[in-house]
Amino acid sequence: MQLRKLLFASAAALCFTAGALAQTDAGAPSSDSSTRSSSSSSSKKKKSKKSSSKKSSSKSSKSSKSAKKSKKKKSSTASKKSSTTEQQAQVFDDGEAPQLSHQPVESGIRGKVLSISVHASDPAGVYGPVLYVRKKGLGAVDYIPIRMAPSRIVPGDYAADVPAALTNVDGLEYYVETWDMAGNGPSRAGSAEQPLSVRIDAEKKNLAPVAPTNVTIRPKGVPPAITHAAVTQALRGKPVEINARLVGESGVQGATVMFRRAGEKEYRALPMGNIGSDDYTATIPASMTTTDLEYYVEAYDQYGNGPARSGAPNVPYVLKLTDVGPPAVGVASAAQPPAHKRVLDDEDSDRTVIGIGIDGGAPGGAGLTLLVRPLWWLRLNGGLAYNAIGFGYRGGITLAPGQWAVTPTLNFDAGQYLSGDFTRFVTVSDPNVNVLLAKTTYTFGTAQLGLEFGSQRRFSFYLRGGITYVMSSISGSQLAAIVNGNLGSGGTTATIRGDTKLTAVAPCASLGFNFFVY
Amino acid sequence: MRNLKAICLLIPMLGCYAQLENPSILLTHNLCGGTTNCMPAGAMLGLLQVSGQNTFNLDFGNQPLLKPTSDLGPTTLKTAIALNSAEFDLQPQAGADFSGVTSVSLLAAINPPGTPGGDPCATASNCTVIADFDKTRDGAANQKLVLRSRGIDLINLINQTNHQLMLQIQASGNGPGSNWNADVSMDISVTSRANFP
Repeated sequence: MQLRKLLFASAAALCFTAGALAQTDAGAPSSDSSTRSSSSSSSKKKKSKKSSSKKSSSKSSKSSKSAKKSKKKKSSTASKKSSTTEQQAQVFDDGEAPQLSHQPVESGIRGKVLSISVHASDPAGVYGPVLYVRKKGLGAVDYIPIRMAPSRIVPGDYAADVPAALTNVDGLEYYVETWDMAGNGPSRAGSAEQPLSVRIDAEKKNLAPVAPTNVTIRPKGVPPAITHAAVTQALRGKPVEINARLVGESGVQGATVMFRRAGEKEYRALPMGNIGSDDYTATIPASMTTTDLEYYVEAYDQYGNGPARSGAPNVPYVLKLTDVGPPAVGVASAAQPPAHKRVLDDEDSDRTVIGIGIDGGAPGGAGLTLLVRPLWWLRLNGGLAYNAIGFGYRGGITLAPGQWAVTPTLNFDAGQYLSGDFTRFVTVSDPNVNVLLAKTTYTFGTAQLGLEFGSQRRFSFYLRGGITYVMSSISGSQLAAIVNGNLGSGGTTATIRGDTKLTAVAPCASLGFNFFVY
Repeated sequence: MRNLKAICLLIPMLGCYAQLENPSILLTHNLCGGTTNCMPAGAMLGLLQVSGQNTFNLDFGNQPLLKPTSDLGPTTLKTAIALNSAEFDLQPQAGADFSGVTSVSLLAAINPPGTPGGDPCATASNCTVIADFDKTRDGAANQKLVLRSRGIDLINLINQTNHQLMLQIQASGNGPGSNWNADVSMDISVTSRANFP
């Protein structure tokens, strides 16, 4: 503690010395003051005789010290005595202490210079002022005097800087005192006993990060774009399919239909499945379609940007449920934009009606067919058929009495193979038989029961089994050639008047898939 | 257990079949081999035998379809050959007809004759009448003499060794008044059916 005190005193002494040097640098004012001081000291003596009651003992001692100092100067500078005497005669003594005003300094910054300023004025001129400063809590003898320098701009303003070395403390105490040139004073701001306190704060460092200029932070990816034709009507107690097209530069994930019964607060999440390309679908189960529904569609991209929405939690689509199907296109289009008016169905306005089917089986062969659904439970198909020996055509109908994930179907198909060369697979020696086999055609009809897996409105895979009826005919002339070749040379000839019919009833099976695109 | 699996596999096949059918195949045989009017004028038809022109063979060849039954994999193939009718068509000849013919029978021999070139129907039980004409029943014939079928399945009469059907014509009454010739034809229908299993 003592060491700390010693260091503080040493620092203060250095500061004072520095302040004194600075004052010396001021030059003229200092000598003038000195001169004035000496002259004033003589007058002060006179005045002290006249009004000794006004002066305190301390002031008197200071006056006498000042006077002694003047006398010493006088004796050492005899050559200047006459002029000094003349100046002394010009000092104005109003008998009043100088006016001193000061705005107390309440805080400073540790390790930084602390400036303290006052305003002092007196008709006789101001001596000083002097700033006395100490560390807060030290004794009266620990004040360090600092001469305040006059302002060169504003007359009467004085200021002193407390060096940074003195501000590495928690607090400072100070006061300022001054006299006039006639020795009247002192006037004080604060006092040795009741100094003004200065709180020394630690320097506040700005810890906030500084954003670099010209840098734009942009999230990676963008939410997907949603194209959705709102479903506004559906049959009560039937599943409702919600379709949307989700296109995202940075992928699509979390595609969901959020739905609730009208009047409910909370939405239920129904994940949408991708059904090819950018198309997604979800089916609200029949168990939920008892009352009107509200829903919206939302999705994110793979970076979590979003959600992108069609509809919104507070502005959902309203799905009205009816006991009978909407009266087809007219009403549906009134509730829905024209883009949604693609319906041949008189039962439901949100159904795909045209698609493509690919299948394979026996004896129907492989097929590529166009699918048309004029009614929700009825599909028509027609297209090309291929059975490894030739091409043909076929068509048929399929009855699907439901739209479930696994739907039973009843299918009737019929077709005809227009060409077929069996000689690619069978070798016979009889040229007449070769001719017959080179053009094998047949007509067929099938009746099959099946199970379809998937969405009836988009993509479904199926397995079917049933029975087929195959009908073919053999040309009479061709068969006659064969028969005559076998009759030998007995003089008997065969004439076959009509075609020979070949019929067969056989089991059949097929598998394939349907993909409705519109 | 194995039988149960077999039954399960075969149930879907029940009622399934494949069938080949032709309702009218005309087999024609010229009595004179297509050359001259070899049949003598006004002769009693019962004596046709002497000319040797009343017996001939139809060779059907060795075909599975032309057997009463045959097994093809899991299926059994059955064939039936029915005679719809038989005809005698008199070769164009002015003023000639079959009006003097009293009866005609078309017979199929079950077994070949005992001696080559012999009469297969010498033993009556070896031949079966498959079609006949009766002037009393059918009326007098003109240039065309039609024999009524007896409805016998010919497939059972085809010799399974040489795959031939031996036919013989027997007649009574008088033939045309001048030498004559005729085409004998049989209109048959063939049905061959394979049942699963």
